[in-house]
Amino acid sequence: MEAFHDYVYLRANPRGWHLEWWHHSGGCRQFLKVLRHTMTHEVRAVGLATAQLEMPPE
Amino acid sequence: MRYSGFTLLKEALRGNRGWKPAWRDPAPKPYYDVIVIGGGGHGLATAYYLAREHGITNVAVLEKGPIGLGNTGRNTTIVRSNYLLPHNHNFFEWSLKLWEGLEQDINFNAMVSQRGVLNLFHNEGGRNAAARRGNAMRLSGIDAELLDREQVRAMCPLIDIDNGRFPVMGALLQRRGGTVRHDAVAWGYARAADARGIDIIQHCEVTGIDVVDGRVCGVQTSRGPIRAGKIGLAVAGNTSRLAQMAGVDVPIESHVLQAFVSESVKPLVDQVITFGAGHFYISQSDKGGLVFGGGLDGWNTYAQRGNLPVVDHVWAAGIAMMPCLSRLRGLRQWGGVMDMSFDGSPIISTTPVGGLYMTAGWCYGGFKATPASGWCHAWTIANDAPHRLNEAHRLDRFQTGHLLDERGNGPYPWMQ
Repeated sequence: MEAFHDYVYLRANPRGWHLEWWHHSGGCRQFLKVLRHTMTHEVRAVGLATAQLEMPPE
Repeated sequence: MRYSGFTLLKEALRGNRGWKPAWRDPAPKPYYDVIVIGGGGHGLATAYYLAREHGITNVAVLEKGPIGLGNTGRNTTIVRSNYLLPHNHNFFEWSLKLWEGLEQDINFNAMVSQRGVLNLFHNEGGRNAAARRGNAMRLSGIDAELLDREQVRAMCPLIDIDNGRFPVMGALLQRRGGTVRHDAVAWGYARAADARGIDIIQHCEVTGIDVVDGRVCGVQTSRGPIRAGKIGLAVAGNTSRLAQMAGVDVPIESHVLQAFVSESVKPLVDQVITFGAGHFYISQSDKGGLVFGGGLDGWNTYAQRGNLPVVDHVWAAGIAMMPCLSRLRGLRQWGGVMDMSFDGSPIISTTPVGGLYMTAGWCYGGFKATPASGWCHAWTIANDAPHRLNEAHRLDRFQTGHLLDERGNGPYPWMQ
């Protein structure tokens, strides 16, 4: 139960590099993994759903 | 010194040389009974009510910048208590009652203007939802009226009632809702707290929270370490970062909300009006600018700036509701950083760490809550337990399933 709660509700919510899902709703409709910085908005890397993106050192 | 018409006149006759600073600029002491982290409206109100209601004055408010330049300085100034869920509307109604008495209480002109809040609706479903919400409010003794389209037209002739796409069917009106001058709230609470001996310490960023044996004992800051008996977090937008310093993970995502002001014009919009067919709300400030906004951009950010699609959407909604707006020029656009919670309702709570408390998760609705948030947070800190009014706003409600799902959207922070 605790693991389920943590999965659904807890977030790292970093002020820094952040991994998120994008959906190409206007095109191929794939889900994309995006590595974006939440202060500068720089997009460092993009990959398909199964991609392993490396978190840059902070 | 007490502010009054008499002191205004007296000081004017003395060339305005007699005014005293509204609050001191003390250096941090080595220890405080309570440290409030965050010098916005909620933090300053917390400190004020700790002193006023509980006699706790050995308190410091630590603010990383100048006070009141976070969300307190960036909101669209709306105050209201027209929420559906009793746990929410009873809390916000307490806040509205505190607003009504605030200027006399803190001896500061906060321009509390109960000009009325109108929520427009455009179809049967919208009217049913408005009637349900209005009835829920009235059952709790809060004022609410359902207006039909002609009553809305009479009250606000500039609304496009007969709009082809979004005809207005009516509105839910809370007459006691309105606006308050946001900057004055920060300054007024700061001055009142300072007068009761509270230290307001600006340009002091907390970089760490010391926890020993499951209990807080102090903070590390850009101006050195400070020990504390209790710590209250009032750092909307940055709650995750501060809580993590104490080893607490929270159910929050930080998002941007944009807001806008137009050029100043003569009185045009007499109430606060919200659109039912899109996310848009507007009122007019005493300087004459129209103050308006809409919904979130929808992506995590701490940058306090949003993007153009929202600008386009908000202004289009405004012009659909009130076509005359199309001739006005925009003057300013900005953003804040908000704690979006997973049910859209706030968190005013104890935490798993002893002596650590928070008022957080305010989403985009924190300004109207400023007095009651400070009041309830102060109570929770002083008593190490919530007041009846914030009992339901517990941090662990997500674990026990007692969500306050005001919007009924589900656990999606960006959709609250």
